[in-house]
Formats: sequence, structure tokens, C-alpha cells
Amino acid sequence: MLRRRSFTTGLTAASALPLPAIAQSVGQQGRKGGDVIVAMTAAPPTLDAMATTAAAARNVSMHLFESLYTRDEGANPKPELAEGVDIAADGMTYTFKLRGGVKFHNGKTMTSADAKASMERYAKLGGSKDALKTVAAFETPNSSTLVLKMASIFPGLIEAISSPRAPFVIVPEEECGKPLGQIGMIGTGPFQFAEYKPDSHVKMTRFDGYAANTAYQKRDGFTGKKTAYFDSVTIRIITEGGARTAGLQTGELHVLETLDVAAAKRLKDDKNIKTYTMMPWAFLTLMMNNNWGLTAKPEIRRAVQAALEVEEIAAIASDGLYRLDPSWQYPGTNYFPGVDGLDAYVKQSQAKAKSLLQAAGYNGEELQVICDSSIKWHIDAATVAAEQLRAAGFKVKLNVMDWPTVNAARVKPEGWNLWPLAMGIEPYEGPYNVVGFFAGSLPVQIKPDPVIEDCNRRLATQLKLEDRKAAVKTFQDRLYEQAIAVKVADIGVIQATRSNVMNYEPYRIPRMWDCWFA
Amino acid sequence: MRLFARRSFLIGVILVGAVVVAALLAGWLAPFDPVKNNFRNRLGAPDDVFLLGTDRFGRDVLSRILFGAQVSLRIGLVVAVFSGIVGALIGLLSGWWRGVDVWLMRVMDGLMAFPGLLLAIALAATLGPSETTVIIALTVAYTPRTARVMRGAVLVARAQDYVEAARSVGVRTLRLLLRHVLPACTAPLVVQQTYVFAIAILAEAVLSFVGVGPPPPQPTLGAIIADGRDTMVEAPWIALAPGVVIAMLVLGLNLLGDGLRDALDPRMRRITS
Repeated sequence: MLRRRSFTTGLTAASALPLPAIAQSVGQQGRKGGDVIVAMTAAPPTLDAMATTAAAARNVSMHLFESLYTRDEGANPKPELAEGVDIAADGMTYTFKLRGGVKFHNGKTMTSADAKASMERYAKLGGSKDALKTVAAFETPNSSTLVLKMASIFPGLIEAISSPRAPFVIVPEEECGKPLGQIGMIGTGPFQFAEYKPDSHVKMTRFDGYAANTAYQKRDGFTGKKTAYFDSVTIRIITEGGARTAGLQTGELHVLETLDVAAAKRLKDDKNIKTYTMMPWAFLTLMMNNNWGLTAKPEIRRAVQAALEVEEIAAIASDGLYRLDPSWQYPGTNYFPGVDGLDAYVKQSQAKAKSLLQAAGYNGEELQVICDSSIKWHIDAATVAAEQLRAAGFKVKLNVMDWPTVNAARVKPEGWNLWPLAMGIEPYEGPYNVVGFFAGSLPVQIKPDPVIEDCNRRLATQLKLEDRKAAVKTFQDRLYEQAIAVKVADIGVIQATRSNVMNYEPYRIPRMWDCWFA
Repeated sequence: MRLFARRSFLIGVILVGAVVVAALLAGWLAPFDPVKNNFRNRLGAPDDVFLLGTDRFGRDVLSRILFGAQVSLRIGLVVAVFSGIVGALIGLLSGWWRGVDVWLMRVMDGLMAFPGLLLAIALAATLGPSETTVIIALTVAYTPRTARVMRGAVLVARAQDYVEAARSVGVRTLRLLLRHVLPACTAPLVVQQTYVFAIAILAEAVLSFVGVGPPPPQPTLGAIIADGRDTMVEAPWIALAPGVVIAMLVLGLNLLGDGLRDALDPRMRRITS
């Protein structure tokens, strides 16, 4: 007989992650009505939720669609459309029991056939389809059970399919044959699709047939017991920060996805506006190319590591919204490897940098820094780092490009040495995509590192959590010891609402359920 | 010095002169290193140490403006000279040899069909941000206007009796162009290039503002304004101070140009004398 373990109770780290407390909704009565207007910073490339990893698309899709599993307030996997999952002791079978009575926006009741068809569509064209590459078959023994038969074990499956990066949403079976970008916007979420005017707005209306998950008492991350109070949600695309701030001040906008830090400081005494800090939001990092030029030498990479004063980079790039944290997992999460032994790597020492440069035979060659001008975190981090490196004796060339050009340049094996990146969703998801970023067929540092490859393998195959945690610790130690990348800091963002938006709590996206107008 | 008797010209000289002198002496006048960061002193308001405050990086805004003005003036001057040389050559060829006129002017018309700034942004974005790129982009964008002005002046000059006379006595074409036609076209060319100088400074500010100017941390007036854009309410000194300098420069150069035009154009001399 197989031993089974269950994910229904979820993982246990939520309390330790320094995210805002869960809503103070107990005892508060919501009020239905109104059109809440939310400003987001960019247009979604598509609204086909499975297909895109764009953050802008998540602002919309997480209101319309739901998944078997998603993430709770502490970013841990929790059931949503599934009641839970039984995992065979050998890790080769996952049996999901689906919740009953869940309706799609077209009135149809969700069954395992919809779940199977959705997962099969995801396996073909999903934004994180590699997560399903170890699944051999999807089976539906009855209308409320979905079984995943594995070709090989993958202990990270629940973490992977619960990620909102490109969410593993469940849509009606009849929609699943449609090509990329042409799927109907029919989900099971608390809001239903109304209209999309590209470069202007997306409108959603409350889905009165929504079946709230009674296994929970209240909202919890992307899952929980969700209640829609607003009649409609209008998500406006406003790229200019000043325009978003002005819209919030005048009351034309009710919720901002992000508010500039300086503006937040200015508005802190404005009684019409509430601000919310999301910390941590992302890792601010500097990636190094270990394959080409100067940074192919470990001594030079260590000199870069020693030359950088991470607090100055973090303070300037984040406008002061940062916390120094050398770990490559967030403190309090399941895979947090600790920070023991990292002191020697994170303290700036220009003298050490200069002596390492001398030992490496540095002869004034240019260190090529590439960065984009679209994301302020990136260009500010690159600008400050470049100055610090010059002060240590490096000759630095800062190449500023647009985001697509940088993305194309940084996967090339040659032509760059240092690349700043704010990793937003990856650390939120856990260790798989953080370690995976440095491993596999296209590691960010270009040349595969055998120790990191082994960590990635262990993470994907070890059934015991302790063994996987050990792999993350080894990965982190290796990053520092080989100076493959520099973790600058954890950085945050500020979300904001008008004061009449009640019971709002910040999260990865502005969630418009379980809040209402006063 | 009839020029200096014109009040507008004098104001132009004072405005431009003040900025040019300050920029030339930036190495002595700037109180701080313009690229030195100080994160503990970010967005500091003007005080007795930082006379124009500090920016998001904690850098002294006054020092950045002084060095930024150097870059902006250098770009403006080089663009004015290069577009003047190339435009003058094209205008001379086009105005003198009617066979090549139609081809050269169609090329110039093609370039002028694009708004100059848009063309410069497209070129700068394609070539990648650097000071050289900005100079190339603005030279390409503003040469057609100079060529047009020069062509018109050559067409007028070639019909003059003294030119006809020189041709009739067998003066060689090259000598004729250099000794008789070109000097006659100098006045409109000089006036046009003062405007190009001013427009190039403005255009450089725009290119830097939209992120295709010289890369950071090099200060340029446009880049300093762009740095202050997100904090216009919280730290208005960052964007206002370089904005005032650009306004001084452009106004001054326009007044200079107007003064030169009035002084060099015989018809204007008659009107104003």
C-alpha cells in the first residue's frame, strides 16, 4: 500500500514571511457596488493567461481565472479549485480531488474533463510548460478527480503549478482547442471579462454565480474565501508614474499597482490616500558572465564582488525601499538557506578588490555592463555599480539599451560582463526558478557550473524537503564562493488606494475581491 | 561695433556668454565631482553646501549642470559646424550644377519629410546611446535645412552680374565658387547655423530626456531634467535649474541669430537704420 502525503494543509512558512498581515476582515461588513478603477503600469501582451508570463497580464487574469493550486499570503502553495492532492509515496502519481459546484462564467459546471483539457493545453503552449514535462498522462477516473501520472519524479510539481507566473488556469474544455491568444476569457474567478480596449483599459464585472471556497475563512493570497463586492473593476493602463499619482490624488483612480516612493512620502499625510508597502517584492541582483572576457576569471568576479557597496546600490535604485538580505531565498520561506558564512562576501573592500585585480593581472580592459533604460531599478543599479567599479580601478563601459535588446544581448555567450536584474516573480515562487535561472540549457551566467547543475538536479529529484533545502544552501554558497552573481538586496514597492477603498491589503497584484467602497 | 548697439544682440551675448564661461570653467567652479554618488544625501534641498540641491543619487546638481552645459554646448557647436559644412557643400553643388540639383534636393526633401527630432531619435536609437551618436543623428537631421538655405543663396548669387562677369572672363569654376559665390552666401549660412546651434542644444536635451542621449552617469542638461522628472513635486530643483539654463542658452542663441541677421542683411539694415 502506498504511503500518501497531502498538500491540503499547505506548507507552514506563511507566518514568518514579512508580508503584510492578512486582512482585518473579521467583523467587517462589505458593501456591494461601484466601479473601482485600478491603474497598472504596462499593457498586457495578451490576455491568454496560460501563455504569458507578463506581470501586467496577471493583474487581469488572477481576477478572472483560478487554478488547481495557487499561492497563499506567504507565497506557499495552497488549494484553490482542488480540495487537495494526494501524492503517492514514490512521487509518481498526483491525485487531485476537485471542488464541487464550481461554475464557469458561461454557467457550465467545472469537471475533471475541463481540468484535464486545460492542463494538456498548458503542456503545449503554457508560459511555464516545462513544469509539466515530467507528466506522462492526465487521467480522469471520474468527473471530480484528475490524476497526473509522472514519467519521472518532480517534487516541485505543486510549487510549479501553483505559481502565478503564467498561471495554470482551468478553462472550459471546449476552449482548450483554440490557438494561442484566441481563447475565450471564461474562467471561474470572482469577476468575469467585459471588455478590453488595447492601450486603454480592461473591464471586468462581478460574477454573481461565483462559488467561494468554503474551506477557507477569508482571502489568503490568491486563494481563500473570495467575495467580490465591486460591481465592476476597470484596470487602466497608465505608464507614466506622475499621471498615476495625479489620478489617485484627484480621485479618478482608486487603486495604484505602484506609487513612486518619493510621491508616497509626499502623500503620507494626505487623508484621502492610503499607502501600503510590499516588502519584499524582488531581489535586486547583478549577474556576471563567467564565459567571456574579464569575468571569465573567478579572481576578477571576486574583485567585482568586493568592489560593490550593495547598500548604496540598493538605496539609490529602490529610492530607499530596500532591506539588506544576502540570501537567495526570502527569510521565513520553506527553502531559506540562512546567511551563515556570507559576511566575508557582502562587505565592500576596495583594497581587496584592488589586490584581486592585481593578482588577476588586470590590464585596463573594459568591463562591459549592459542594462536597459526601461526599468529604473536596472539602470540605477548599473549606474551606481559602474561608478563603484571605476573607483576600484576597473575601466567600465555602460551600454544602455532597450529591454528587448538587453534580453537578446544577455543570452549571447560573449559581449557582456555584468547585467543588473530585479528578479520579481522567481523568488516569490520559491527556489526552483531561482536555481533554475543559473542552470539548465541557458544558465544566466552562460557557462554551466557543475555544482549548481547538481543542486538543480537534487532540487528536482529529492523527495525529502530537507534534502532539497540542502541543495539550495549549496547553490547559495557556490554563487558567493565563485562570485557568479551579486545579490544586492531585497527591494519593495508601494501600492496605494483612495481612503474610501476599504479592507484592501497589498499583494503581488492589486486584488479587487474582499474590498469595497466605504 | 554696430552689432552691439542692438539691445537684443547684446542680451543674447550676455546670456550665451554667461553659460559658455561657466561651462568652460566647470573644472574650477564645480564644488563637487558631478558623478560622485552619496546615497545618504539623496534629494537634498538647496542649502549653503549644495547650492542647487542634490539629485536621487545624492549628486550635486550645480556641479552636474556646469559639466552638463559643457556637453550640451559641445554637441550643439559640433552639430552646427558639421551640418554647416555638409549642408553648405550640398547647397553649393545643388545651386550651381542644375543636373545634380534635382537628385540632391529629392534626397534632402526625403529627409525633411521626417520631423527632425523624430529622425534624430530614430537614428540615435538605432546607433545606440553615446555623444557621438547624438552628434551624428542631429547632423543628419539638420543638414537638409542648411542645404536648402545655402542652395537658395547660391541661386541668387549665380545670377548676379559680378558672377556672370567672372565667368565670362574665364575664371575657373572652383575659384569662382570659393572666391565669389561662397562669400556671398556666408551671411544666411551663419544666421542659419546659429539657429541650428540652438535647436541642437534643445534636441540633445530631448534625446537625453527620452534616454537615447549619452549614457549615464555623464551629465547633460537633458539627462539632468530626465533625472528630476519623477520628483518634480518632491524635488523641483533637479529639473528646474537645468531647464533655466537651456532656456537661457536657446533664447540667447536666437537673439544672437536675430542680431546677426539684422546686421548682415542689407535690406534689414536699410529698414532699421
